[in-house]
Amino acid sequence: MDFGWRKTPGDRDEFERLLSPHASSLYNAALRLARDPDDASDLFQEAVLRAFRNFGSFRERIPGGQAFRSWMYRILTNCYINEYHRQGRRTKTVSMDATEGKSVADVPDTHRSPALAAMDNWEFETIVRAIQNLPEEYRKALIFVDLQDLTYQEAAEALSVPIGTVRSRVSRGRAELRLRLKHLLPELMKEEA
Amino acid sequence: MTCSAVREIVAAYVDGDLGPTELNQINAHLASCHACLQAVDENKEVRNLVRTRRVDAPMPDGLWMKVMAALDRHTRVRYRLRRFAMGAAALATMAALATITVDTVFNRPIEVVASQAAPVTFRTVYSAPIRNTAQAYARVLEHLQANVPPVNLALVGGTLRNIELAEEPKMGILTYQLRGSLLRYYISKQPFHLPAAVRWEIMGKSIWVLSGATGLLATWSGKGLNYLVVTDHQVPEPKGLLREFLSITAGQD
Repeated sequence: MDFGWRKTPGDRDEFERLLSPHASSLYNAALRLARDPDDASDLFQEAVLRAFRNFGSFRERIPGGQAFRSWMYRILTNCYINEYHRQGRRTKTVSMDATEGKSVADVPDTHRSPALAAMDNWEFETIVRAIQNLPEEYRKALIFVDLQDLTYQEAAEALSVPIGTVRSRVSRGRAELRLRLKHLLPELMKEEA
Repeated sequence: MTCSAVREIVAAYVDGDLGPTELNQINAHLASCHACLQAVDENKEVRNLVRTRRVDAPMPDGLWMKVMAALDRHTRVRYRLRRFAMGAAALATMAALATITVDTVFNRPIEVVASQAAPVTFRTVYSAPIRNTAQAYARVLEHLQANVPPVNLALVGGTLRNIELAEEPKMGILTYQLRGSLLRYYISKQPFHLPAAVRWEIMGKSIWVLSGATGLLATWSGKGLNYLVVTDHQVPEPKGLLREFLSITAGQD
């Protein structure tokens, strides 16, 4: 809907127009990264404001709004890493060694949120919880590719890694996730086989 | 291609994200490697499981509005920092001078005709004698809290005659040209910060929107306080109340 706003400093309206279609997806990515609804809201807002401050340089480099989604995801990822990961605001970091060979039931539930709980979807909650307890690099790769529908190229840009690294992490992450889920959702795993 | 190399790209293979060269190589390998073929099936299995059960959470109420308001603040911060004191003084003076009667405003229908859209008519939802803007804020907020479901509303409007008190750039107020079918500005029952004032131009009239600490927007003119209550139509309408509320409220001087 075009309200005919006169452009404001920073091309606010253009930014909003590009952001709007991805807002829900970005919020869900924030929720899955931060694991907590309050932190997710802060992360989402922080990422949007940071993106807005840098919107001019983005438009100069990539006119026409192309690659806006992957650019936003990269900013979201960087905000998460900078503000949450480093400051220890994340509730738990699971190392690759710490969870090797364990089922999801062995790992504390650090994800369950009211927002997701309200969905009454225990199967998906179980899956998300298992993803959340994967090693960090696998977790982010699966969140972006399998939960947020980013292409491998977009995920690579968002994570600032080569596309081959994303392919590897998604491959390994799915293998690890399968091991953890097969004990909890054996019937579902058979259905999908 | 070796088995270990296949296992590194098996997900991309399942997702159809490989180029023709890699695709041919992995297909050649799978033709003779049962273990890797099984790895492909297993990868596909967990991929399908995740994707078919995936559910997205809704954004929390007010988050989008809050972020957009933050963008507004960011956009205007350089103006506001320099002009806030002058603007506040001017507005306070005007508030003291104005005798505001919501009643006389709400009972006067108005058409906001956009240049490229259908007219929008407004009707009264609340009326009460108001003596000053602070009381206007309080009364309208009270009414909203009592009668309006917890949705995000936009409250804009009012015609201000004494424009010289708020001319750009004295107050750092941004001017918008209305061309759409509805004004859109955000207001919430939850407090959030908004620009000090925004001037709209509707059918050649200047319409000012002033923000208050409550998040309400209100304006007044030398003739009386005017309100237009409009909403972003993307906001879900709970139980028809919003439509009734927005059928629509406003006044005209």
